[in-house]
Amino acid sequence: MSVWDWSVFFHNLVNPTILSGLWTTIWLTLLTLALAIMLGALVALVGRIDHLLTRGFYQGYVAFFRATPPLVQLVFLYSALPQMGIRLSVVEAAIIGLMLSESPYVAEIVRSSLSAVPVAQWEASKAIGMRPVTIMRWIIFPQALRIAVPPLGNEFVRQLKNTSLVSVISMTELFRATDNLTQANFRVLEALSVATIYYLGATTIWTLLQNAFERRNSRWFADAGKVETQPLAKTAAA
Amino acid sequence: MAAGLYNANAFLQLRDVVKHYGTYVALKGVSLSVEKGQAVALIGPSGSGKSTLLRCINTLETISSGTIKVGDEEIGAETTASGRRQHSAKVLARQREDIGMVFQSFNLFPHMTALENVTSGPRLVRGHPASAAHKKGMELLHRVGLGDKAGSFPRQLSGGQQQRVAIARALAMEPKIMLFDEPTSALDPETVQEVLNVIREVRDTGMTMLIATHEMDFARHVSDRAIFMEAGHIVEQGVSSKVLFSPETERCRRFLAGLTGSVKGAAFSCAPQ
Repeated sequence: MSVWDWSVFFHNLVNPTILSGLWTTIWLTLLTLALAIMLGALVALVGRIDHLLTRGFYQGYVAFFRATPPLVQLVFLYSALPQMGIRLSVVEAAIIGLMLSESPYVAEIVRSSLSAVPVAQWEASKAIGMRPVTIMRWIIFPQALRIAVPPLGNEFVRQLKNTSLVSVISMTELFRATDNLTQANFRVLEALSVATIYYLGATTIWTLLQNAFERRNSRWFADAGKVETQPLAKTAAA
Repeated sequence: MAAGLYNANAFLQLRDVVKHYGTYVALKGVSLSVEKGQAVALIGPSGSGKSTLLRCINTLETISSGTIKVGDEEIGAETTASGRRQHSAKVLARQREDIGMVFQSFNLFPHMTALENVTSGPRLVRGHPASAAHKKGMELLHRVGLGDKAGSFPRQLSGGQQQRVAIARALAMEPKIMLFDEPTSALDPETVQEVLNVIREVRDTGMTMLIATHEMDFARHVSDRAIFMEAGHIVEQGVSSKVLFSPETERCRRFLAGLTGSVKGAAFSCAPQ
């Protein structure tokens, strides 16, 4: 058996099992991250309510789900819950597990982004007569979003990689699809190289999208290091 | 001393307003009144309570005791037989609509253009349609001399320009009274004048206003009355020509003399331009 077989490599590249695994990885990442953002934002908003119980809930939630490994959470949901009479399908356990394990990170990002917007912005909005919900939606949220996007982009990359964990509960995503293939032909190097390329490709496309979004979202904000005080028109003319 | 100047029929009335921060007492029983259409200058050293007083009137701070009234309405809370009861967020928001506030640090919304900043109140608070808010916003920007900056973001504007947008933003809500919290203290000396000119124009429309400022020449020219505060007390108040030119109290005299000394050579003209 030769060290590297190009034909196996190219076959793997377009292998339907691998491509369908790639698709599973992508939708699983997007879906669970979207759910984690909703759940995390909700938890963060509850945590902002200035009350002993809500703050305690927030601290406890973040501590619990951040302190336990996502792999353990997944196996717990799929294999331990049935003992209590709760049976989740592989897909259900995968979605819930990846959502829960990611949510405390999102909650922390949302919490810190919201509190990074200066208090003076709240005061200026209140002074005009805006109500709290209006202030949050139109004044605080857009500014917090700009702060939250780079770390949330990191979470996408992390989540994409974490989807490989659901292979343990037998969900056929990119890694398990690749691994299955090697059981048949024992060409592990070519198979995992293909998986690596697809993971790399997905994160690269994401990074490009995120950069474009950040540029658009930051029109109004001076980039670090090139703070402008002059009107743009003058800068352009110079 | 100040009792004679308290007028129960005045437009803005503060009676025995006390504000604590923990054990620190920022306002130690302040009573004053402002008539409709009057401009009142609030002077005094840093930490004397000028900003706190303005923030209490706009309910950004909750007063510990006393009453504040604008027109016939008690601001921030209602005093009943059983004590003070804080207004709901909804009522506070409605009351603030009538009380315009301009901050030392401008506090424009950085993600909105100058025009969007000015129309934010009419659109987000009053629910005015974009076209109407836009038209009025442009009028206000022209009024403060920034008609050509409608599409600029705050970071593209100088401090003086930002403050003028902030004034237009407050005026867009058609407030009954305007509060200026050291509006020129954060500005470069060369942009101070443009902001003072705008404030003077607002004053000329008959707006009732309360201005905390260190610009004594400006205060002398623009205000009808002046209030000198120190350490949370009103030390002296009266007509500007008296308080700002020949104050009764030794403390106010020393304060004004100190200021004159420090700004000698940097005199600016208050002549209308």
